[in-house]
Amino acid sequence: MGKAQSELLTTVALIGLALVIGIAMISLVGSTVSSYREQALLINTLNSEISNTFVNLVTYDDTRGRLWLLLKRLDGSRTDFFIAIAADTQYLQCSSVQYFNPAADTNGIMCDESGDCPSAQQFRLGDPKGIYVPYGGSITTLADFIRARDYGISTASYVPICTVRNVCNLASIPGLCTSNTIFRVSLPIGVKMVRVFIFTLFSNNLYLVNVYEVRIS
Amino acid sequence: MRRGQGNIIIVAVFATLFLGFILPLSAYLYTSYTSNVRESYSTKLSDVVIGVAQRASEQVLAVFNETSSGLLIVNHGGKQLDIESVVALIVCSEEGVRTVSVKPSETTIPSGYQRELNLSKSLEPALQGCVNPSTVALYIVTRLGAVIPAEIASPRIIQSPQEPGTGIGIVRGAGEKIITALPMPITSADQVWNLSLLQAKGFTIATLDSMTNPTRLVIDSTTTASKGMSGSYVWGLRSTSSGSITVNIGTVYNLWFGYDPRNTSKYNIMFTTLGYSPCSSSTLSRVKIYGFRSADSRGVLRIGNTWVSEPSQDVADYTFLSAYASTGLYLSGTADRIEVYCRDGTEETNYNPYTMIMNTVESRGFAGILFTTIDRSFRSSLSSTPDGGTSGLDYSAKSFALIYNYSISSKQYTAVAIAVNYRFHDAEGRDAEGTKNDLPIMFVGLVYRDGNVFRVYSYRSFTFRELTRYEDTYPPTAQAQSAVVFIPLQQGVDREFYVFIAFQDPYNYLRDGSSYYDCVELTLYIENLSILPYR
Repeated sequence: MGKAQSELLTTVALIGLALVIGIAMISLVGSTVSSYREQALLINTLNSEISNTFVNLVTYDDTRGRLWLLLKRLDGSRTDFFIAIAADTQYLQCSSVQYFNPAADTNGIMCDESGDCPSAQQFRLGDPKGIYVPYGGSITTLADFIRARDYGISTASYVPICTVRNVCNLASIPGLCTSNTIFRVSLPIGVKMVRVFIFTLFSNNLYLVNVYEVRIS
Repeated sequence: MRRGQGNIIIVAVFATLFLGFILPLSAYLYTSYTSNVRESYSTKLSDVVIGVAQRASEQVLAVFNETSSGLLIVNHGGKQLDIESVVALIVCSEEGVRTVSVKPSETTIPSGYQRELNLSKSLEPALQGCVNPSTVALYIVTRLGAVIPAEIASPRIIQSPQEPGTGIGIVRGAGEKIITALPMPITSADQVWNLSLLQAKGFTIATLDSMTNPTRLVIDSTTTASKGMSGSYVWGLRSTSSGSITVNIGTVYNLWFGYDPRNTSKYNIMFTTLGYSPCSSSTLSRVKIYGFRSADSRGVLRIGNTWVSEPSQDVADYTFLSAYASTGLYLSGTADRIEVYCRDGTEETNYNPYTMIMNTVESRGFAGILFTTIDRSFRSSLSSTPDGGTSGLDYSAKSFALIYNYSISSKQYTAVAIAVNYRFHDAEGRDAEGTKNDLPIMFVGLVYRDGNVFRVYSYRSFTFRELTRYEDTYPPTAQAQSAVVFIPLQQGVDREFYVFIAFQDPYNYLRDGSSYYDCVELTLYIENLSILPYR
């Protein structure tokens, strides 16, 4: 083998090595960047969702144990609401949540006709260890959050996540959604504290963005 | 190719790779990382919005006039008010609460303006088929998501919506705030036959630690469930039913009746007689009829030959019906609930057979409490007892106390005036002379919470000899009585005070040779208990 030949081989080998290292670096950096990008997007989404959805108490009908609340999205989007309700230390089934559909109401009386108050559908039965909460500057699980807040809810019990349809999806109103979604919760007897958990969905994971508490007695 | 040329190419390729890819990517990585670190969750716009919503609720005054269906809105918010809907809770007789949502014709109220919106047209379809509609709460829901409660002005009472959950309604007088604990608000779905209903009306049921000198109130669930009244024999619940009822008996001893607060076209009736089925023929029997609607156009019921068409405000009017000659009772119609008690129980019983939630004035949706231990007749001589013997005498083993769950902070208030309106009647014909001991029948005062204990701060007791001055045993008359108990609050100590009322029949009997003392049987009707805190 001549001298020039071996130099050429060395050059080719070195260029090959450089290319391999370069490609490996690019893919490594690329994946790291995309995961950071996703994290940044998650944080942005959570930040905007925390400020975006809000709950307010309308009234409590103590004769029938029904709590009326309203949900609102401030950005005017038509995204449906993912909520879970805890009455004292138990989660309520989605069948006890009914949302008012003004488009199906004919007489002004809420929830007296068929269709003017559909029950919330269960979106998922969530494992509290697989639901995340932005808490104290980082992200923790719902199980840890419940324990940290001392809600008294068993961290072993799965969370029925209910879909409350945004009222703007129930009727064909064009433009931004400015209406309030009114829903009611049928409470068991003797409940003292009701908590409404509001979740948002990101990459098929649920994140808790708001907890609204109502003290009944 | 020259020798040095190959090296230059290698260096050039490396430099290109390094400068072109690795350096910019590392830089991007670093900057995106630091910008992530700077993100935080501190911005909570929802808090801001809720704050605005709350301010809006305070600066917007809304009054709903039930008679005209006019909703007066005064906007001092400094911002235009955009109404999305009006949510109202309307009580219909025999049906219960309807939750109604209507859109008013006008939905924007500029700041500084006041508008009266007429809701009668919008409410019309929602009120169809509603008997005796009564709006108990009304809220304005704004486009922003704020919920503004409206005061309800009705001819009966000016009352703000009940505070959620507590069942406490606040009546506003001229200037000062009056909190009305009794008469309590009643809806058509309420089970007025059970005293545990009081727990849903803002009260905590308790008992006194001492029947003469209470120092604390004890929360005792057995007071409603099973305990409280004692005697050789007490009332035992033997049957409950509903539907049609006809009573046609030759002898009725005592009868109390009032309007059914759930629906004033019905009545609550309680009477005592002998041997009412299923009680055995010689056993004293008490029948309680709730939600009675007469099928006879001549009146509600017939006592002797006289038809009675409405309850008397004097609860004692029909107390001693067969005192001198047998008087009959006839009534026929339908009832929501019929309870028959036989006087053969020997176990301590609760207060249910001795009490009735009713109203003596035709004011739907509000009720007072009637308590009676009278079950036969009265006495005029010391050698007899009102029940003919001692076996019929009953008395309180524990007093029945109610704490109203409205806290009055000594930080906010300097004094409390408690107003109580009541009627008292007893079966002791000799009045004060028939007793050796003057014992308290009713207490009204303040307790404060000390951990889990409600300690008595101050109270006024109403003893038998005081109460008996304003009644006549026979012919039965219970004059309307009232009292205002003024209690200054201890300043400098931060305490939460609660108003309480307690009642009892502390008298069993005392035998002295052939004379009987202290065998008082009594009726107490508490019409009104109001609280006026002073700043």
